[in-house]
Amino acid sequence: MLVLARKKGQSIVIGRNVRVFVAEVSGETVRLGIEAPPEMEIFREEIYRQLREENTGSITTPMEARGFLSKNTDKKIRIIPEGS
Amino acid sequence: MENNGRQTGVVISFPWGMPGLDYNEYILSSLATDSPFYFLQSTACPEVGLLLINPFSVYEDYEFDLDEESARQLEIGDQNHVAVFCTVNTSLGADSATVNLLAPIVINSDCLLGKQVVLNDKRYSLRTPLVICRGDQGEGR
Repeated sequence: MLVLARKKGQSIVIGRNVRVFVAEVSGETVRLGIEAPPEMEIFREEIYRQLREENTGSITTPMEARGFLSKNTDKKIRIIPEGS
Repeated sequence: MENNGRQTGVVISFPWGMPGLDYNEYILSSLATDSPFYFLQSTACPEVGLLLINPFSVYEDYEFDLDEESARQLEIGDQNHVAVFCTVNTSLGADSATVNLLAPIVINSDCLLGKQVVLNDKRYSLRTPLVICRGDQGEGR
C-alpha cells in the first residue's frame, strides 16, 4: 500500500481520470474532494460494506417473496419512524 | 410504470449494478393487485431477486433529494418519470422484515434505467422495521 502525506489544498491523481484533493483538515476529520468519471461509483467504505451485506441478505426467490406476500395480504403495513 | 401503476414485467437496466448483486438487468413486476410489494428478478438468474416495496405507501413522510450525479446518470429531468422502491429483507422471518430506506432504488421509467442510490441522510437506516399490524388493527385491503 502506498501512503502519501498531503496538506490542505494538495491533491493526488489516480490513473488518468481520478483526482482526490484534501479540501479541509479539522482535528481527526479530513474532508476530501473527488473528481472521477461518472461510471465510477464512490462510496464511504463502511457504508458500501453494510449495503453489500444488506443486499446479499435480502436476495430472495420469487416463491419466497410470494410466500411472504400471501401471509400479509390482509394486513396493514407501515413503517414507524425511529424515535416515535 | 409509476409507483401506483399496474404495468408489470418491465425490464430495467442497472448499468452501475448493486453492491452484493452480480447482475445488471432485472424484471420489475407487481406481486399482486393493489399491493405495495414488487419483485425485482434477475433476467440472467431467475432464482435471484429482491422483494421491493413502494416506500411512500407505507411511510408517507419518506423524502429525499436525489443527488445531481445520480439524476444525471439516470437521465432524469422530469420528476414525473421517476419511480422509487426500497428493498425488503425477510431473511429473519416475515415478522421481522426490514426495509432499506437509506439506499432506495431509483428508476427512470422512461428509459428504464435503475440505480441504487445511497442517501446521505441520518434519518434513514438500512434496516428499518416494517410493521405489520395483525388482527383487528389491520385494515384489510
